[in-house]
Amino acid sequence: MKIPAEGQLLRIFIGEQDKWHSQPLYEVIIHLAKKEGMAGATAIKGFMGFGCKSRMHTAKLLRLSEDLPIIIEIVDSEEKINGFLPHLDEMVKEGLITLEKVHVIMYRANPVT
Amino acid sequence: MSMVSRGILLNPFMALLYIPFMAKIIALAIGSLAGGFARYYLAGAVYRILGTTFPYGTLAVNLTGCFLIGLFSVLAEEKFLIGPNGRLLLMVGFCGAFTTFSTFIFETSNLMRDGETLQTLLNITLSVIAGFLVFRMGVLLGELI
Repeated sequence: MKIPAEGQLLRIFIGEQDKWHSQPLYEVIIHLAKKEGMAGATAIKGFMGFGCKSRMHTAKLLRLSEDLPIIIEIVDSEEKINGFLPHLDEMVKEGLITLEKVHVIMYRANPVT
Repeated sequence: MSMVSRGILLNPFMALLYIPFMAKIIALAIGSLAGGFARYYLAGAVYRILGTTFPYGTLAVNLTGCFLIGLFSVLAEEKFLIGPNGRLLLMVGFCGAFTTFSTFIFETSNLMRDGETLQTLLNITLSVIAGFLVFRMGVLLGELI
């Protein structure tokens, strides 16, 4: 699989408690990205943050450690990203989605031996 | 996949878990209930074994709670073996009802980890000294009634 040198970075900001049909939303998005043949996807867990409700979440204080931030990053061609966005529109009920142009320096894996 | 196709409507209790708010409430309720019982019976057992010349029961509960919250925090935050509702059940509900001291140590430890020495000392000092002070205020109020 190849990514054009001028790709796009899709960022999805959600919470770890967000669900889609009872499954963690971040897992569903990553599995869907795999199924849709995206070049790759990474989920990153944040330890502090707040969203559109301005409610603080932090791993430092137990009572506020619910629903810590999750960021999912997907880099692929503009065409593939555009094809993926309608799924997100349906699944992400609360959160933030951003898109930016990126210059892909390297995308490779060791050959299977 | 719809709830009906999963057969969830056959079990009303399972259906409740599909409402995120209800799942949180149930996790908290089960954890708190279990933590309260565990505290009561562990402290009782320790007093039967070690006697009542020192608050061994409370000490045992506090130390066990600190161990458990340390274990659960790593399993949740670093190993990803405990999800958000599991954390609510085990850390907030169970450990919180078992002993609030575990939460105090967890948060103080986080302050120490982040190098916030002043905040760490303030948290310990305020909890202990202000705890004694407001305890005395409660006693005084009780005596006035």
